Amino acid sequence: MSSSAENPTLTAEITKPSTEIATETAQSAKKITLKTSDDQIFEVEESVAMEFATVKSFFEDAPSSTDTVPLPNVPAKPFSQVIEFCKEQIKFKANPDETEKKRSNSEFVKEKTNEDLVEMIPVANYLEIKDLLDVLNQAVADRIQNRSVEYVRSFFGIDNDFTSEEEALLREEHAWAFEDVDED
Amino acid sequence: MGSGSSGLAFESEGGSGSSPSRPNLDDVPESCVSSIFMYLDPPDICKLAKLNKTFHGASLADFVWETKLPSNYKFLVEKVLGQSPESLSKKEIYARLCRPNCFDDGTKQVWLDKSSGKICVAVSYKALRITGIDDRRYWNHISSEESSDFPEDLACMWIVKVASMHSSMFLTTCRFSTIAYLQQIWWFEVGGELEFEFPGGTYSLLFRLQLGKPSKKLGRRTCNGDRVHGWDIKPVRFQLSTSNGQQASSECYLHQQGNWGAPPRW
Repeated sequence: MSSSAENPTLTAEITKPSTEIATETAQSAKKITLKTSDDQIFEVEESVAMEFATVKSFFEDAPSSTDTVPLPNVPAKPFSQVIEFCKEQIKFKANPDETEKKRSNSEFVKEKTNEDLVEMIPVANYLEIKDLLDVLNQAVADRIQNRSVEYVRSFFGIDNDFTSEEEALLREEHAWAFEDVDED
Repeated sequence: MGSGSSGLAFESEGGSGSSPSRPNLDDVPESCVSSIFMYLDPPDICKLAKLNKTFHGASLADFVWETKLPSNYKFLVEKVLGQSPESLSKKEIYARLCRPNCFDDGTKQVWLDKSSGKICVAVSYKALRITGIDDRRYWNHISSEESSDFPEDLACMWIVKVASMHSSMFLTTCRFSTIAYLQQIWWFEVGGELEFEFPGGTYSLLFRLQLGKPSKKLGRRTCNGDRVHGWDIKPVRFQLSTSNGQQASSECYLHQQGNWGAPPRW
């Protein structure tokens, strides 16, 4: 989390006064401009952007800033899905309905591919959106429980980086968890 | 769930050109993986710790295991492991509490059900008051190692298992070195107390006993019921009361020979 993120001196590169944004700004709600790691510009209603704790604290430090907020760790694809979630989420702030919120959350993850979920986790983590993280962690856990090691490696797109000696040690370390279980 | 698992040929076309890369968790901090682990049960966590170094590191986080341990784990560590809870990592505590640990001079064992983290306790007949137990005309003390690799399958061990209700799975490793074998008697009573700190919840209590004399024939465990008689005349009565005033009791006839029975279950 201590990466190169916290450097708010970047105004120069917003040379794209994106045209599609201009039409939307007719509405009264204040918009905040955010730029993803792959240089996509997002205009997001302030209420939605304030769901991102990282962005919120950026504005707490510089309340009158109209700068584009750079999100160097956030690619556009998962970010647009994160915005989708937060838009839905703020509806429940206005009128809380726990069962409806649960239904909406499970609807949200149900439509997502494994890849979507895995890509959103670091984004939600970087933006510090706790509700979304909880939802994602639960969804990922549901999809990987009782699965094989190989399945879960490909789920996350990761490779085994253990040597065979280390693997042997790990087996020993966790032997207790795999000892026989009998039925009583 | 994309289960076309032999997908060698499809890889390159699938990603619609621009983003061929698989999802990649390299950028995800260990703490995120730990947070996913919060939603998994311990055997799954241990299995996934083998994925790679990030996952292994994530599996060590105290905050993951704190949620898996029973709320009275500090009591257990002190009473059963004889150590201070601060001297061990939470994962280590969990692992060690999953093994059967003896207490009260080896007459009782406690362990955690490793999937749920719920507490199981077994009490040997040695911690119980049994009518005529010291009189060889009535009772024998059979060494459980003598005749079987699986001492649980021997006769007339009095075990009180106190386990959380939801799961009926127990470790095989619940064992005591001797069991009580009844020769003959007109009547008897078995009673005992267990002083222990259980977290709130629903528990089940089982009495383990077997009718018949166990033996091993040609490597197979058998049970000889020739000398079993009289159990059909009157039912056996089981009862339990707790220090906070809860009571349960039941009566039943024992007739199944050869199996370890656990007649009442509350």
